[in-house]
Amino acid sequence: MSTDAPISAPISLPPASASSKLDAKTFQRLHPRAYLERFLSEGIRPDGREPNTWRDVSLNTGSISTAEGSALVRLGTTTIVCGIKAEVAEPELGRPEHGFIVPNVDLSSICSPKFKPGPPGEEAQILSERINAILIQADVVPTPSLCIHPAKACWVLYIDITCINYDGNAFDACLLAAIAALRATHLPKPTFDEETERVTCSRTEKLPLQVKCIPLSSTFGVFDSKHLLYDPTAFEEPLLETSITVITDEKQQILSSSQLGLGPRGDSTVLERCTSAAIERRLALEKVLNEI
Amino acid sequence: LISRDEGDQPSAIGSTSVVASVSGPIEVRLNAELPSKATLEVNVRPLIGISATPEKHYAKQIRDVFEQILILSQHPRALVQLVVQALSPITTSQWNRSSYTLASEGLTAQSSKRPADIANPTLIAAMLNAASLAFLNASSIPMRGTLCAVAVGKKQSMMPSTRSSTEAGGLVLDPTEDEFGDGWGVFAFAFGQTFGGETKAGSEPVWVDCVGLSDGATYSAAVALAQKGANDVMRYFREELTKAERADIETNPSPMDVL
Repeated sequence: MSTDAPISAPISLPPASASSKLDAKTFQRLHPRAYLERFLSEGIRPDGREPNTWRDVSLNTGSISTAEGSALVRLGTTTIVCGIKAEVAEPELGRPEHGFIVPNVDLSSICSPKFKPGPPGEEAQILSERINAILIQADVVPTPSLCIHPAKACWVLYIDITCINYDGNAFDACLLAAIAALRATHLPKPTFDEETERVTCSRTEKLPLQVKCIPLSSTFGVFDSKHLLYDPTAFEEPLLETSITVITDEKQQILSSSQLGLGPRGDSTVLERCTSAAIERRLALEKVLNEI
Repeated sequence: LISRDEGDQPSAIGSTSVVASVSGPIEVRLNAELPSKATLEVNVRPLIGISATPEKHYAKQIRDVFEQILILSQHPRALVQLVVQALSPITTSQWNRSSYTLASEGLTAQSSKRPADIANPTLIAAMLNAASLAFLNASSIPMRGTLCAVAVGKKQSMMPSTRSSTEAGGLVLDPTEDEFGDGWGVFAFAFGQTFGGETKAGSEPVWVDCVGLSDGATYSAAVALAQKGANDVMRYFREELTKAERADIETNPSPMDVL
């Protein structure tokens, strides 16, 4: 969490004039907590949404022609691109009938002034780790299906997720982009030659990737031990004490839920509320996914 | 006990063990300095290999919860450093690799259904407990409460039950490797005045990470079981700290100690 700005007494603003718009922005920069508190006391958030409203999602697939599969997700203004590349490799000794799935999330400096150029920062590493955990746990692409020839050849799927514009809630958008790209992936048909021990891939025949499970996530935040905010933006995120993420699968079952921090004071049902909100949200996300 | 500013505590749950050490408040680097509170830095080191993305994830989880439990505003412009060293492997595949010959005999049908690389849930629970004990041992940063974490596992239904005292309806406290096949949860509870009790766990966990506990009834049962576990952990903390305190007084008597 970033620095706490001191919460001051009501500020006396100069008389309303043409520069009143500048004053609001200055106030937002100098006292972000007070700014957010004032909005929430009116039941609304700085971007105009109510605390329990989600941002609009839009999804495009196939935009990267050189990749085996790709997807572009816009969650409000958070924009994430995912590209899937496949390579042939030798399977691990201890797991000869399994392929590999290698997700990686890149939060480069073009997406937000928060991120400096250089090696992946902590947030990118954590996102990569979380995406990896959910892809493995939900068995989204069963690794045995990536085997070409036991102990000799298998597919490695590189799932490269890049953020183009960061406006909060990167995890939901990254997971959606990864799932959409996987569903749109086609791998060339491989043939393994026993004599030369080489794999040849067909230029013409392509097989769609088997995607067994479709996990989709919903993230919430708790502000000031009182307000439950759905789908936090980049402005709200550093001010939240607690973040709650619920991941559901296509059978409407909860795959995973995590609550990092205390819930709103006096409210013991916060995880249940988030769970039902996540299930509702899933229906909207599935519609978007199925339109592709 | 080491010195006034530092605390070291090992913590073991079943066969998972972890050591945590706390230093602070100490000098902070200028670019990490915060004007109104102390900076909390958490480093997690694995047993095998070097710190990589999984360790960063653990460090963030630990930091998120301790940022709220510790009263950092008492020491502005200082650094509180927590280092956690895992003494057990992080993922089950590392366990499997160390007993490779058993693994290659197709470690029975049930584990081939489960992807090999699930992170051990008792490890994060042990890390949180070790950190909590280390902060208590150091006694240099005030805390809002004492954090106790427990892991609950849900056995795959075909498995025979080997434990009865810590079990409730297929849920098991401190699961071993084959006891969290169907789902697991790690719940951390805080004990203290603001959380509703010094010896009894607050009614709601302050930190939850669970996988596969798919319906409300299973989840509530898991929380209830975790609360009992957390009470046991708290009792253990009190006993250990009282013993350590007595041992310290005996080896370093000072005129102010009244035995």
